[in-house]
Amino acid sequence: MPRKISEFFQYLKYSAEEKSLNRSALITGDEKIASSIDKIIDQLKNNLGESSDLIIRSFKIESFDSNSVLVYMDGLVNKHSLEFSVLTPLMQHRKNCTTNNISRKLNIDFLINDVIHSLYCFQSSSMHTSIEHLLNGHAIVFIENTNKSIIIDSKGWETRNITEPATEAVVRGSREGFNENIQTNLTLIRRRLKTPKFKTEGIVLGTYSNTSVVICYIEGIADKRIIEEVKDRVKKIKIDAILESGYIEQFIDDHPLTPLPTVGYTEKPDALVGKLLEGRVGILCDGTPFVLTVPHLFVESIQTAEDYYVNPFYSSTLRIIRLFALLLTTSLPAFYVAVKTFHHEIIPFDLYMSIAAVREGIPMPSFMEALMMISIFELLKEAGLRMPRAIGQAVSIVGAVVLGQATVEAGIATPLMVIVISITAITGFIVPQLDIGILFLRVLLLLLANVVGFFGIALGVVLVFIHMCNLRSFGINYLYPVSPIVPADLKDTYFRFPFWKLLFDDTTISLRKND
Amino acid sequence: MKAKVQISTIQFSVLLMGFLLGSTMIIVPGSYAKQDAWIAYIIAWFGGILLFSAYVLLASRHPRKNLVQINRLLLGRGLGSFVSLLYIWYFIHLAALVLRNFGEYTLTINLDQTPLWFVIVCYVITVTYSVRSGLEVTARTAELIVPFIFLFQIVITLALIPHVDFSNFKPVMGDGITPILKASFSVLFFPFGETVVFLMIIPFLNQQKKLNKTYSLSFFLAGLLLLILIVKDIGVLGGYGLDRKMFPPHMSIKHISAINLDPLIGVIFFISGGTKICVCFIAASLGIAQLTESNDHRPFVLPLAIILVGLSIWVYESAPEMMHWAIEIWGYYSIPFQVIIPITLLIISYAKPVIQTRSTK
Repeated sequence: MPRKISEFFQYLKYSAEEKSLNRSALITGDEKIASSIDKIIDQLKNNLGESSDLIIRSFKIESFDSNSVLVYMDGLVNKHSLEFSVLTPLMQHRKNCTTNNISRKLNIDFLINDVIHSLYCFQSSSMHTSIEHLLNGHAIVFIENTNKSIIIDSKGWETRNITEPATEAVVRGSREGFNENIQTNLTLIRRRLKTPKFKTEGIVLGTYSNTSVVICYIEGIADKRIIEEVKDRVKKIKIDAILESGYIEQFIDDHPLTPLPTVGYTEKPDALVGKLLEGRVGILCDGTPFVLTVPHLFVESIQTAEDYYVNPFYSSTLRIIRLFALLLTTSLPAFYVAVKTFHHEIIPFDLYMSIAAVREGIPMPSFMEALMMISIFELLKEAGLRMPRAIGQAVSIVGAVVLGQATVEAGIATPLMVIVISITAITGFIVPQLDIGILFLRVLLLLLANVVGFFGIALGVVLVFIHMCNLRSFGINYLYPVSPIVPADLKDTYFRFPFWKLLFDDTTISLRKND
Repeated sequence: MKAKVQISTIQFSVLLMGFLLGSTMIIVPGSYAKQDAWIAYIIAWFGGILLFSAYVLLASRHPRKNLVQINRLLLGRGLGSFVSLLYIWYFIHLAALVLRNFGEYTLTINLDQTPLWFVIVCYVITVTYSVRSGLEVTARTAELIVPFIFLFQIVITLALIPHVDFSNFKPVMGDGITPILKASFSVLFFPFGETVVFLMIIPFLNQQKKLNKTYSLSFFLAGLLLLILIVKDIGVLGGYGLDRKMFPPHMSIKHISAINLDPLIGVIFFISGGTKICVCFIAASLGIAQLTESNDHRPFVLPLAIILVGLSIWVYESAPEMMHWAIEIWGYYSIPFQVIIPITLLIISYAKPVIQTRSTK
């Protein structure tokens, strides 16, 4: 039986590999560019079909009396600049303008050097390359009898403005957020890091999507082994399309089967630059405002970029509050159920009597009650996320009534349970990156607490600790620097020391000597 | 057995402290001496220092070698393997006893209707997960949770200060020195002498030079906490109370009137007992791996876990029998493992070069 299963997986693996091999040859052959304009147009149509957004504009370069054609994809180019820097100079170029010592023969180099005004252009003799660039938003000029093309950078398309990110709201700090354009995103980073040490490396991923992915880091701060590892893993990705950085995340994740994130993401340029300066590596992906950062450690879940902009006392307090919130949101329902079921004696007798009085007539055990309320809350949360904005109010009113008033009045849940679940829900929003992990842990602890009380909670917590000690993110222990303890790096974990106590060169990741 | 696995000095000392605190957090082995138990503790503490210096000496004479390798080197392959097997049995036995302690404690204190096997299996699952993940993960988990023992214990002790009655310490040595010595005998072998297990762990310490310092410091800290614990228990319960109660720390905490901190004791014991079982378990599985010359200890973990569950359920009939064994018989049972064999090994390791040089002359 195990052999059957392993054979099945082998089959899956191989068939996936074969598919990806077939896909890598989407554009057939490396055709040479034909000499006559008609043949060139045939070649283009062979490859691209009758695409409605393929624009072919024929014209004549009068000075050399040669037929030419300008090809571009509608919507991907900046038409204005194309008109003024390419078409106008080429068409208006007269023989008498040419200097005498240039031969009257058609010369592509001469056109590029002296005629076309565009910022960036080059020549190519391969149809394959030309079409690739065409699809990337470049304009191509084919000229009769040259067997060459001129590729002109004229990218220009509609993008979203730089707006305030929706996921990471701040009171203090930059309000700029990344958008879907990778060039804009790189600009946003570059503007904050005016140093030659900031390095970027581009990779194209996805056989169909050909998405540009950029790996960036600061040389001298980021560990070389981590950079190599990231490049290695990203280059190994074989997939048809990358639509969001989440695709990359799932491919390069050290532990795909854990609910805890071992790859971080951010939508804020200042947060990303902060992480780069700590020695992390960023992975930008075209088409998404979410930039990945690796390695991602547990402490980052309770850190925000804002922590560094405010007074250290303030930010240390906030971090402790976040940690406390994490504790509450995972263990409060379990704690309540354990006390209710096993450990009556640890709460004052009067409180216990009032709980017991309220619970009179409630049909379900407190475990079921807690589980029901947690489920209702998760359903409401999901509904609130998915529904159209316009009817949002209806759901929140119904939710408030159902969770708060009606369950109590109908005698399904106790008011105390409503309070417990509300606290659990509110504190759950304080550490949003661990969302799913928290939900798993909450239910696990609830289950264990219902079976063996506090012993169960201790058991669950220790199991999770062992699990977290097992995790690594790009070679760094997930719980670093708390376990293994690295006293020098503890200055910026659960407390944030003032800046003069933090050594910038020695922050978290780059200090791997002890690892 | 991978050469790469290494633990830092902090991790080592945390493991050692968790181990020493172990089940001593709820069972007071020196209770025989009643109000003089604290004197017995101090005597045993010094005795423990002697024993541990013997172990450290043995380890430092054979750097990067664990107990099984030392046995084979000094006693020859056959006898050495036999002695190593005995030690492996001893480690498994010790782990099973601690496991049973925990089960009995949980059942007696709050889960009186839960079957014993269920609690033990839950506990073993956690321990097995940790041991299967390797020494490094175990040590790092201990690093996270063992400091809580100190925190909780200090909180409990502070809360109990108003209830300490110093007349409970009188009369000092009222019954003469004999009961004290007898009690210190059992304290010496439980928990101080049990650190012989660490002969299997020492080779993984990354800074071997700091071994002595680390060992002494953690020995001192853990011993100090145990001393505070016993002084607190005597002060609150009195000598007879200490002797009569099955779990004295549990009884003394009941004196805090406003809030019941009892679950804290449970958590402390869960952590310390867990560390102790993990260390014994890892030592046993590493020992078997070394004996069978396998370079991975993990295949032996699951079978050992099953043996552990069975053994811990089977080994005692009842909780009083457990207390009787732990306090009175364990010491005699441990003498060969904790004193005789290590001292013999030490003597052989000094004598062997001398004999060899003579025979070559």
